[in-house]
Amino acid sequence: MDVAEIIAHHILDHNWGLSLGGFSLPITTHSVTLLAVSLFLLSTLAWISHARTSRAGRLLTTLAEEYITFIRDSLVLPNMGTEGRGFLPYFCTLFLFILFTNLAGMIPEMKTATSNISVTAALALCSGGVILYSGLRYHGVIGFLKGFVPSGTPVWLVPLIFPLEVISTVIKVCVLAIRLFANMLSGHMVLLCLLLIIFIVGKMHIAAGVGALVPAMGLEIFMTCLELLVAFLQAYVFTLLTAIFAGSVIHTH
Amino acid sequence: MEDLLKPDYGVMILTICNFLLLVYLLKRFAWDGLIGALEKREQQIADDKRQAQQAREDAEELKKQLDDRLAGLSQEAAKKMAEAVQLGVSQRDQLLADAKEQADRFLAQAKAQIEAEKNQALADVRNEVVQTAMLAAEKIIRQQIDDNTAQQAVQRVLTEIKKK
Amino acid sequence: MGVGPFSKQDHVEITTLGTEFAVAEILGTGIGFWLDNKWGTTPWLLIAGAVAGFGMGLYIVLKAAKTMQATKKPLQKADEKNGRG
Repeated sequence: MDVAEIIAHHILDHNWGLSLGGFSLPITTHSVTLLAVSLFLLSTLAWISHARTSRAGRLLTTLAEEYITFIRDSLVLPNMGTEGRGFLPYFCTLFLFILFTNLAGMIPEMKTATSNISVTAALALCSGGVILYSGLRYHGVIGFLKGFVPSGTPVWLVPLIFPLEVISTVIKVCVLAIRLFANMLSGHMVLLCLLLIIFIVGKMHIAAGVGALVPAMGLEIFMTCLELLVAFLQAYVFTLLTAIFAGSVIHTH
Repeated sequence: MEDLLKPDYGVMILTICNFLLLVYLLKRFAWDGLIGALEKREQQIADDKRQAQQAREDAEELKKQLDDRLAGLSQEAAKKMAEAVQLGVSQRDQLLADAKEQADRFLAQAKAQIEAEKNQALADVRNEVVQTAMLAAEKIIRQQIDDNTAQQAVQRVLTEIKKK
Repeated sequence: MGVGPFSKQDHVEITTLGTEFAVAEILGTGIGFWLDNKWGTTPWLLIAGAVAGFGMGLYIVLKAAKTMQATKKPLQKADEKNGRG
């Protein structure tokens, strides 16, 4: 039994091998999961926003409004100011999208797409695009570039500081991707390894395997609860950090 | 396992398209409606709050005015009361003075009357005494006259006779 | 929900600093490694990249510390207590 192979099989993306005119389509387990999450979110939220007639619909509408208020009052407005109002739909979508993608791994036959570096990099690129767009929109090209250099920097330091600041912004966007990716990946790896403990120990002796079953399953349940927490936390952190960076680009000093 | 960090550009592009499309569609079909309703309601709540605040301020203003008026009234009442007390005190003094004066007058009158009566009585007594004395004198005189006079007359006659 | 004198957001920002430092280091080293392979100057560019990445990470952390010093009240308070700042 090759442990690494088993882990890789469960963690890695699988291309379905579809191709169109010799061009390999990116139809993989993760991208299909993302599409499913998107469709679910789209249908549910579209229904919720028009479901004021029934009792359950009103409840869900209130819930959705509460959620919007949370995103707006604790994430967007404190960090971006009133300029963030226009970006509110983006942040609302971002949080829910990451959260449901994180949680999708809990459902059988679905994978946690956020444990794929390509997916988190794509999300970070979108957030980077939002940061860039907000900077360009409120300061213009020159003002945006000027915003990278802190005011009060001596002129001879500008050529040194400017690339440092640009790279540090790029790194911050990279950190968004890597943080989400590493958190989701590590959680799943730990879950898998805990499961594999049973089989590895069981291979030595069947009774030992049975003995390892109880603690391993206990740890498994604990880690699953932790994963649920981490799913929420990382979605929150991703959204919060995007808001902070966009805010720091808008409100340069 | 080294596939783990190998970026899959196809998935990346698909994810970006997927996500941005989702943002657009959700904004179009869900968030705009929800946020619009939310902000409308918040606006309404803020308006209501402001109105309530305004009403409260008005009420407080009114209360302040009434309080001021009440304070003015009570002040005025206190002033009136003080004036009344002043008036009462002065009237009391006046009354006392009047009473004293009257009493003095009565006293003086009574004294004068007593004096007059005393004088009268004295005069009466004196008259009585005089009369009594005169009566007594008269009696004495008469008595003396009865004895002496007759003797004298007799004597005189006798002497006259003798002389002759 | 924050622990100690920090808010939840402070925690997120502070813990992100560690990742930023690591990513800067890895990025610098990775670029050095890639350029080494490309130009055949094996270990030198890798070392230079690692040093540059380290410097970059240091710059990020120091700048973040400076910004937090200026904007975060709990940190200022803690400094006053310790007799610094």
